[in-house]
Amino acid sequence: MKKVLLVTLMLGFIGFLAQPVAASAYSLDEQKVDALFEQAETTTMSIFDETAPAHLPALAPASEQSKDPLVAILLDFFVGYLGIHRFYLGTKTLTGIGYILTCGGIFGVVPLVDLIVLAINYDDISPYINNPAFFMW
Amino acid sequence: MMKKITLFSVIYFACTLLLSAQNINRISVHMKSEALKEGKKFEHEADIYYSPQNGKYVSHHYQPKEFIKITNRTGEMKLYFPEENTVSTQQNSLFSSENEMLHYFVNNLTEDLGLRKEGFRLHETKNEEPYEIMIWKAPPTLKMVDEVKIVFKDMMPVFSSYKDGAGNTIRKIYYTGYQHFSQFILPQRITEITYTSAQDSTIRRTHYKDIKMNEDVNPYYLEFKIPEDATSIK
Repeated sequence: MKKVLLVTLMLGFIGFLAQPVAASAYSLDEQKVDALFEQAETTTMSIFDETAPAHLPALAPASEQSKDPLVAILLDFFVGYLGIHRFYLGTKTLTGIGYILTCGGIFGVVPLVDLIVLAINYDDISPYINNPAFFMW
Repeated sequence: MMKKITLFSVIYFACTLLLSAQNINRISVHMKSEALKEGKKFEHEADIYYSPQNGKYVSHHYQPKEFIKITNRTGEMKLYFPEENTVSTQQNSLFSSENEMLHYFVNNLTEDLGLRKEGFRLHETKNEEPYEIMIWKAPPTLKMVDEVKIVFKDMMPVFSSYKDGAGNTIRKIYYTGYQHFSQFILPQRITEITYTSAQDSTIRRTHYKDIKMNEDVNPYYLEFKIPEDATSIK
């Protein structure tokens, strides 16, 4: 009986050592994420209100004229990986081209953040107009 | 040797599903996407219709603003705004329906999730039970990303991460809640965490539900014609 117990303990110990990669390395604590979203405040959807122009306009050259945040958001949403929303808001040519070189295809990391930043700061997007930095936020 | 076995297994699995995927004429899913940053969230909802056979991809977005996006394999994209009866047409290969996430899963192209097409090369494969791991190196032109890791479990991608040249993780994506169909598999939830700085991140999660195929799909949007009197806008 002692032998059986000893073998069982040894097997258990070996099993413990041979445990697969911690599940947490590649799995997500969904409850934690759910809680974050539940606690978050929903961004006002005034960005798509009835009075706003609901279309993509011709690309205006960067200037001091006021920029419509809705337009910037729509451009970012659809063609963000081309950096066109940055051209619209006004930036250095190389910054816009940098978007194409670094974030094309499925790697829309920066445009994704731009989109959220523009949505959250809809009431005042002036910091992002004529902003020469690659990361405008 | 392990590398070859892993690669062969993944490709074999993908090919097997690929053959059966030919039976899908059309598919539709409901998508709800939420993005979270600094305690504020942004929501977006749409119904997606896709025909794997001809590559037509139509998404009907109705929250927060209604519009219809139509794309095809060649990258022609049309945005139609019903309320204003306006249409915008754009052409770029990046708009191709073959860059859509649904395309990769429905056509069982999950072995590289489109990385090879983007110019990535397979650098390493390894096994960490119960996971198979592939490391892909970015093409030199892609400055922001240096390496992508894709982790498979039971031949399904469950996790991917992106590292920059300095070795910092800039993005993590978790694929969960897989739904198995006879022709393909589809994660019902994709959660993306993008690290914008050492202390800050953005979370975006996308839920897919109401997955329908073939005769069960409402044909209206895949056959949708933009009204001829729609005003063209740039």
